[in-house]
This record gives sequence, C-alpha cells and structure tokens, in this order.
Amino acid sequence: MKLDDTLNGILFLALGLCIALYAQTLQKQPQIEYGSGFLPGIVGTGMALAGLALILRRIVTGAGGVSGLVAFKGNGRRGALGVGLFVGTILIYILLAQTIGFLLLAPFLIFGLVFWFERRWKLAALVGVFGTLALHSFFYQIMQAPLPWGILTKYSGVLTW
Amino acid sequence: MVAFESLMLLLEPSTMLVIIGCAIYGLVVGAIPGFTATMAVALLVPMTYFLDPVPALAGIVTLAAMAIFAGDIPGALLRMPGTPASAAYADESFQMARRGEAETALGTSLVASAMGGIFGALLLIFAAPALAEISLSFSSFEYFWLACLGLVAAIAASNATPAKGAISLFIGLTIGMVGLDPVFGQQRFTFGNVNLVGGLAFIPVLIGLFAVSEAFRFGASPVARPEMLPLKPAAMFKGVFGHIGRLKLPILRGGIIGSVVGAIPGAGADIAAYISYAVARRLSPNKDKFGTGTVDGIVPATAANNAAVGGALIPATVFGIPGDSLTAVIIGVLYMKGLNPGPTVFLMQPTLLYAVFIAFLIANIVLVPFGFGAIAMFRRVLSAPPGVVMALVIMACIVGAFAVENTTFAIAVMLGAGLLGYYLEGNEFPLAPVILGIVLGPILESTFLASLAKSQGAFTEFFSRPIAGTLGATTISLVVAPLVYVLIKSRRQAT
Repeated sequence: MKLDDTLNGILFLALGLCIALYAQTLQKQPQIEYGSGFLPGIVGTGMALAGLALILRRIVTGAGGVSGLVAFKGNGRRGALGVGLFVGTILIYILLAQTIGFLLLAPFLIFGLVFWFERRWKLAALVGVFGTLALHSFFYQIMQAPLPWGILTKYSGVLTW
Repeated sequence: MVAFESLMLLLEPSTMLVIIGCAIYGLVVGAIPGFTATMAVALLVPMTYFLDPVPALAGIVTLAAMAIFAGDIPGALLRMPGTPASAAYADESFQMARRGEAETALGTSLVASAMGGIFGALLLIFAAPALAEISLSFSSFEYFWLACLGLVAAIAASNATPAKGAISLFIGLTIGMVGLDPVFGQQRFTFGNVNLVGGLAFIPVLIGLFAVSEAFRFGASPVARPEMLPLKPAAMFKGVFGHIGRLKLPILRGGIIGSVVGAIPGAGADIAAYISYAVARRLSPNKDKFGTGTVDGIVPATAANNAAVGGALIPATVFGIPGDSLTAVIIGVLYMKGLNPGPTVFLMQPTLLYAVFIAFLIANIVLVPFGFGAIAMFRRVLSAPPGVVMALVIMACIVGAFAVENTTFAIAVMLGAGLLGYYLEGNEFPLAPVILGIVLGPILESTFLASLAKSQGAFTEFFSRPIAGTLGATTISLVVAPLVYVLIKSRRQAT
C-alpha cells in the first residue's frame, strides 16, 4: 500500500508531535536539566519536522504523489487477501498456540498458506505435516527452544525424540 | 598464540558443523530473489540464541559472506539480483548470460567476490586491533559523536530522500526508547503494559522488519519466477583466471572502495558496489563496453560488496557502531552473548573475537568451492515453489520470535514490526536507519548525558578533545553541507 507523501508527512507530523508532547510528561531529574524526556523530545520534534519537510517537498516539487492519495500495489483484492492471510496466520498462532500446541496447530497454518499460494492440496498437506515436523525437530529437539505443547502436554515425553 | 587458540576454537566439530550449515543456508537464501542477507541473518538470530558465542558469531559472518555472493547468481541468470548488493551489476552479468557467457560472468564474479572478501577480512584482522588500541583512550564525548556520526551517515547514505531517511531513523530511535530509560531507569512509552517494561525485544523487531515484511510483500503480489538462462557449470572456470589477471587492479580498487564504504556507518554492501561500478566505468579502458555485458563492470563491483562486509565489521567490533543493517544485527548478537562490542573486547576476549575474524577470512576462502556448488544447484533452489518457501519462512519467524522470548507477546511485536516494515518499504522509507536507530539510540542517550554530567552542562566541552572535536565537526558538516548546497543551487537558479 502506497500513500501519497502528503499523507505520510501528516502521519509523521502528528506522530512526532504526540511523542514530543509525551516527552513533556516525563520527569526531569532534580540535579540536571535533562531527564528521561530529553531524547524523546528531540526525536518527536525531529520526526515532526521531517514530516513537515515531506509535505513541503510534495507541494513544492510534486514528488511522492499518488493518484487518489492511496494506491494498492500488487494483485488487487487477491493481493490484500494474501497479506491478510499472513497476518491472520500470525494472529491465529498468537491466540491458539498455547491452547492447541505447536504440533497440532502448525500443520493447518502451513497447509492454509501453501494451498492459497500454490493451489495444490496434496503438496500443501505434505508440507504442512513434514514442515511442522522439521521445524519442531530443529527448534525443539536440536536447539532446545521452547515450543507450546497445548493439549498434547501429557504426551510431550513420548513425542520428544 | 591468540590466533592459534582462535583457530582451535573454530576447528571444534560442532562449530564447523554450524559454519557449514550457515554457509549452505546463506547461499540458498542469498540466491532467492527478493531475500536479503539481512533477512537471512534475521531468521538465523533466534537459533544463535541457543548456541555458544563462537559458533553463533562465526556462523553469522560466514552466512553474510556467502549470501552477498549468492545474490549474483539470479542476477546473471534471471536478471533478478538475489540481494540488493548485487543490483549494481545484475544487468551487466545478465547481458553476458544472454550471449551464452553465463559461465564466464558467474565464474569471474565468484573468484572476484572471494578476493574482495579476503581483502576485507585481512583489513579487519589488521586494522581493527590497531583502531581498538587508539579507541581505548576514547571517552563518552568521542562515543557520543561516533553514535551521532553513525546516525547522520545512515540518513546521508540511504537511497531515499533525506526526510524519509530521517523519519526512518526517528522511528528506530523511538522503538529503542520503549522500556526503562538507560540512564535514570524511568519507564517510557510503556503505557502501563508490563510486557513493554523491558523494551521491545530486538530479535522479534528484527525478524518482523526484515523477514515478515518480505512475506507480506510476497502475499500482496506473488511473483512467478521467470525461466532461467542456460548454464553449464562444468565450463565455469574456463578463461576466468585470464580475466582475473587482467583485472587485478580493478579488483584491488574494488576491495579498497568496499572496505572503506562498508566501514562508513549507514553505507552497506549495495552502496559499495554502486560506487565501485561507477569508478570502474570511469577508469576502465573498455568503458564503451559497460552496459552491454562485460566482466570489467562485474568484477570490481562484486569485489567491493564482499569487501564491504569486512569493512562494516571494523566499526562494529571496535566502537560498537554498526556499518550497516547487517552489522547492526551482529552487534545485537554480540550484546545477546554478553560481549559488549568496543575496544575492551579486544583485551578481555581476544580469542573469541579473532575466532570470528578468522571465520570470516576462511568463509571468503571457501567461498569459491561453496559458491561453485551453489551455482551448480541453483536450478534446484529455484524449483522450490515460492508459496512453500514463504509458508515455512513465516512459521520459522513465529517459532524464532517465540523461542527467544518464550512469550506470545514477542510474536505480536514481530507482527507489528512486520507491518511497519511493509508500510515503510512500500512507501520508499529505508529500513537500515530504523535498525541503526534501535542499536545506537541507547548509546547516544547514555553517552550524551554522561558527557553533560562530566562537563557540568558546558556544550563546548563536546569539542574540547581532538578526536571528539573532529568527529563533531564531521557530523555537523554532514548535516550542514547538503543544506548549504541546496541553498547555493537555488540562489544560482534564481539569478
């Protein structure tokens, strides 16, 4: 998604001002003039000025323009759904991984993604199963990284090889 | 003695296994169009969390050396550079491949990459300790100006407009400010959320910015890969050494340009390659052949981008100031492993540091056989369905972010950083200043306040020491000079 630089400029002008105002709420230290708000103040002001510069550049030179102020690159609706699918996959994992567990959830998530992009359900199923096993073997078994077991917790001993 | 001990550390079977694994991984990821060396490292970082410091760091530098070269392969055979570092001469090598000279293009590119990388590695081995000795006398004033210089150079060196570069930098500084303030311990930008008190974890942010955003871009417009041009790997070194002998001076010049540009904070391997290509085009006796497909254009640029990795490691290890986004990640890993980068590491843990330097040197030496293997196997790498690759990448991102922090909040942070990276790249904001801002922000703040306390509020003290004064003047001139240039240019146009 590409925004017109006027919009980008307004966005960062507003964000910069919010950061600068927030910096004012941070306590100063009694012994020196500078406290925790010093750097946020500079960053906020700098961001607001850079946002303003972006707006001025757009007005003066005409560069950074987008017809209709917002343009969607890629394959239109299907492209938006593709991005949404990745975002949805991550959100589903955040919401369900602790309850269901990696070994049961990941195959479905991988299947969904592969099927959407490749349209081959057998390939998607194979990658779902073997991809999950490969990731689990590498991260959990070899690297000893923690992964949620969810409803398989009581079988974790049997399933650890 | 230290070098021998370092070599012994590298020769441990488990370390060798990690290095070989990282080399193969770097070659595969680097050869996939659209993936960057930084993305490859970002995906590897969660794994290094569970490794000892030597294999972790040796693996990362090996990966970097391999990935930068591997980007040349799809550049020549598909006209799609695997990493941005290969973009400067991708058209040159593709033109050769179209004439049926893909083997010569890739063979010379491989040997020149290795030579450039070896030059950068040797410079790193000899220059870094000497610089570290000088920098032992540095105080907070010098470090403050070094951090400032890094941040200003990051904007100046980015391909974007200065306003966009500055915004990226301020975003990075803001991300770096979340959590406890490093000087006074006050909470900032936490808004009562306990998950934010410790700050936004570096690894999930990194994975989000460089890997998840790439998946989103693929989701928005999945690209079918074009058919690759024919290649006979067996004939790859035919006539190559004749070209290398003829172009030894341009290769050396590429190595020097790459090392110097790489060491400038903010300017990475891609900029080094562009500069080296431009210089070669100006100085070459065959300048009329540039643009039509000539090794004279490929060789100096590919030597420069591999040398740039070694160059970028110099300020990263000596001062803790990253040369580019890749070394910003390496600094993050150094901190993660309890090694605060800076001159004292050369005194306290020289064996470990030299092991990393030697690993980088070895990686560039073995680049020739490994790179040959990668070229021979490229058709197979390319045959992997992109949807499968991206699905596995996104799952590896999720698992990696979770594994390091052991909390689903880290995955949420990764998602947020991914969306941010997707928005920034889509709107032509550079990503490198973001990561430099995250790494340099806390250094900038703590050195500024420490210097201010030492000088009792007198700003003139910031220029009182010779090196600090020089660094300060350089930083200020980097900010002021472009403004003066614009002013003079507009006045001339008006008259």
